[in-house]
Amino acid sequence: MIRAEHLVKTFTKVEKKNTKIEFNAVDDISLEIKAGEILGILGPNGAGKTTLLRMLGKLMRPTSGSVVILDEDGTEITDDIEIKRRIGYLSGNTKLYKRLSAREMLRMLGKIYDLPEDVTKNRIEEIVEILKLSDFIDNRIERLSTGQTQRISIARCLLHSPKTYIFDEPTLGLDIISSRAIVEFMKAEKESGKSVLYSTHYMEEAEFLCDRIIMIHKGKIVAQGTPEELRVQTGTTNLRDTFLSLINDEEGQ
Amino acid sequence: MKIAKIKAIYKKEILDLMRDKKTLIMMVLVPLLLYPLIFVGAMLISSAVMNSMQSSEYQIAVVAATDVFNDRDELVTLLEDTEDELEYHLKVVEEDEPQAALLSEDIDAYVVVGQKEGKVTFNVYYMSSVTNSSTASDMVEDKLEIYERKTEEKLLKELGLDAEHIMNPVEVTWNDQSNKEEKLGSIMGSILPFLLITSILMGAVYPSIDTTAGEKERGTLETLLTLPVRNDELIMGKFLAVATISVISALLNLLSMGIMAGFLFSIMNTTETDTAGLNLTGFIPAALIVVLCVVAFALFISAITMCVTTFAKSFKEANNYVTPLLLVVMFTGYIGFIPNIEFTPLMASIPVVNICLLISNLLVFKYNFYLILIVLVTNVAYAVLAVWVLSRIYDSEDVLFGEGGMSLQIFTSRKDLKQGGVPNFSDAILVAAVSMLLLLYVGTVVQMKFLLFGLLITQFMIIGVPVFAAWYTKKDFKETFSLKVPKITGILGAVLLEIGTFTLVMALSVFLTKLWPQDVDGVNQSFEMMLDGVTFVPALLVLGLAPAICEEALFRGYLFSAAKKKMKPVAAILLIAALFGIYHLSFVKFFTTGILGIVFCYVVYKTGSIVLSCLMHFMNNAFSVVLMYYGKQLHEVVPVLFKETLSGGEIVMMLVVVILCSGVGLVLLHLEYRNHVIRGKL
Repeated sequence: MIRAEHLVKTFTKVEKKNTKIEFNAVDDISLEIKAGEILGILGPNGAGKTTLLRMLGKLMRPTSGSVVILDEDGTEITDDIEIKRRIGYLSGNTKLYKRLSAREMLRMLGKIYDLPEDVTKNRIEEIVEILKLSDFIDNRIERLSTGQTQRISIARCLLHSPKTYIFDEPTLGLDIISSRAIVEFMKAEKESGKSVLYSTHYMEEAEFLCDRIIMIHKGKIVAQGTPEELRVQTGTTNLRDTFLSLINDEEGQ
Repeated sequence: MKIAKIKAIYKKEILDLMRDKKTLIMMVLVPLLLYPLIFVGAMLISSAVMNSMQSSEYQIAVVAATDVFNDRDELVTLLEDTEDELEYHLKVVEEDEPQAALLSEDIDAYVVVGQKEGKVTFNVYYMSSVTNSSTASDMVEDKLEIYERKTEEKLLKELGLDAEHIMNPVEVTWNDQSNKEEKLGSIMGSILPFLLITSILMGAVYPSIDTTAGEKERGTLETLLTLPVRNDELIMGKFLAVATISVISALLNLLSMGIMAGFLFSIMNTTETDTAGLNLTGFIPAALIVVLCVVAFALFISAITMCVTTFAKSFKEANNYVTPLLLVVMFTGYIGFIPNIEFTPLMASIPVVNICLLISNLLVFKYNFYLILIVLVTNVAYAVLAVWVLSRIYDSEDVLFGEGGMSLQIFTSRKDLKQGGVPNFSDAILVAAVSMLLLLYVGTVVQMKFLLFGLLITQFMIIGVPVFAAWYTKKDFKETFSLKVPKITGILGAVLLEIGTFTLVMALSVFLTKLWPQDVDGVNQSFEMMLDGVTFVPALLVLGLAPAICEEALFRGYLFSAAKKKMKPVAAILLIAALFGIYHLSFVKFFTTGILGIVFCYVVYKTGSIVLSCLMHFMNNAFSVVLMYYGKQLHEVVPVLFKETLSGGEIVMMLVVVILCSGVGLVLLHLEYRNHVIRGKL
């Protein structure tokens, strides 16, 4: 389980003539994901989704607020490195080392995740089996197709068997087959009791996948609940309209 | 730090780099092919030149009327003689119209023998613009010298004198006591450091870009950041990988150079007596220490290069940033070519310079283990410092996720630039480096040649660089150069502050002069030479006014406004002051001008008016010029100024002046401009 409390991230924008403008890309967001749950983060471009997820994944330091992971035995993990060890993080920006083969890369990652060598080896075999990578696991990544590369990316997240996944717009720019692989993967992991945190602006995908949804706009949470609850709350029939109605309310104020 | 993680990162980087053809080309192919190509090319060219000189016969004509010169046959024999040690052939041809033949290049030169006042005269006609003709004329000159000598001998003999004794009354023999190894070492010592430094740098640049900016460009940096690895582990792994590649490429360079040199000497041994019996084993201890130094230096260079390239988002951008670094390091590498630079502990602690001097010293078999130790320790220390800086850079989210804020506008097409604002920090670095290089390489030369006028030229260069840069990048001149008319109280404050500062700096320089007397002597001597025969007013204009305007425009104008935008005011002031100190190229002056720099920067920061710092700079320099010209008169009025040691009372008095003047000056500036800084922020 992962829990974030009062996360704030302040950026400085340098405008003309030395004047600096400070603004909160993420403005006091708290959230919690339970085991066996997919939580969707929805918002337009620039809403602060990526910054929020980067803070949760410990890629960025929050200006204030905290991120905690609760282990199964209830111990609270707050150390950056230990949190990273328990998360599988995937985004459009997490590219792979093209000049290495997938196996070489996974072995290197195994060492960084502190896995013993034989454990890494067995785990790679397992993953090859699950994701059907055997045809190209030893090829250099630069020679793989987009879909194959995407499967290697998923393999990268699976390697250290994390309990929590953070996916930042994982299906952005992918074709139907590749994005379905990701969607299927998230569903499967959820079934096996993992927590999945996932951002997107594909409303239909979110509606179909998520147990709970948090809508953010300009760094703030504007609404949260199950897709059903959100629709009822705004009196709309689909998430797209729900979202637009919420944004309009916000702008109108 | 966990060694296993560092090892994993290191292995990944090495594997990643080795799979890239560009690394292999830079690391292996270039050194292995470059030196043989250079040497073979040089040999081919020189042998081609030799061949053409030996093979071609130069055609010359001799015009001599028999009634004035009856030794024509003897002269022709001498000219055509190939038995002497000169390596060429002259062929005497018959030519009725020698002038026409020369102009049409049928013959290369002709000699007209005549007679004047009982002497035989030779007029050699040739064309200096035609290579063959000018070579032929040189040959004729040599031959005629032999002829002259023979004639002298003949005449002396006819007079019954001892020709040998009269013509060679003194005998000089040169005895070089350097052994052959030392001679070879001193030649290599001037070239080798430069080649080595360049090759290490070249070896470091590519992997360093690949592991930093390359990682951003390929989008793998974020992947790396999701991993449970600490920044210092990450940087250690990357740094060690870059250093490894750089060391390997440097060693391959050394090896390739060594093989080529050995090959050349084996050829020379058989053909030339001068290098026969050369014992190359003497170089082995030197070579071993050189290898050690190469490793230490590669560590340092790798870290520095990575610090620079980390700021870039792409290969192209990284190349832009690395270029100034390359220039600075390579120019510093030239120090090997300057003869007779003493290798002192201070020199041994200056980066780049220390490696160059150490290598050239080792090659002439001067082993000073204390200095070798300093070089090794300082290089490792600089490397550690640079790695620490690098880990701080990696801590910055602006650098990792940002838009790569640094970019050189000077290399951007002018029409793409927006009007206004103050210069970028990266542009300012380039401007500072270019000004410094101009000062070092052009300034020193013109000052030696044209003295005071040379100083004026230097000053024009100093103001020219920032003005051009500001114009090219379309900056707001008023803002960039802090052009603002000061207020009366501001002027008064600045004047008082300058009096205080000047007194402080005077006292400090008395103290420093005692510690490093040679340093100050050198500066004074060059000034005396420059001012020889110059009257007071031009001296005041060139030494007082010109620097006050030109140096202020560069330091307190362009550079300071760029630094102010980038960092905190205190850091900007210290940085510019340090640059100003370094710019004066003297160890003692670094401290005194450094203090002046701090005060000038502060005044500009506080008031936003460069006019005030110009005024203070002018006062400061004018004081010195007045002291030089009217020192004697002043000596009678205020003897304190000329004392070499100060009594306790005098020190207290000086302190009172410093505190009182500076204090009142600062208060005046503060009162008048207290709103300026705040207003600037809003």
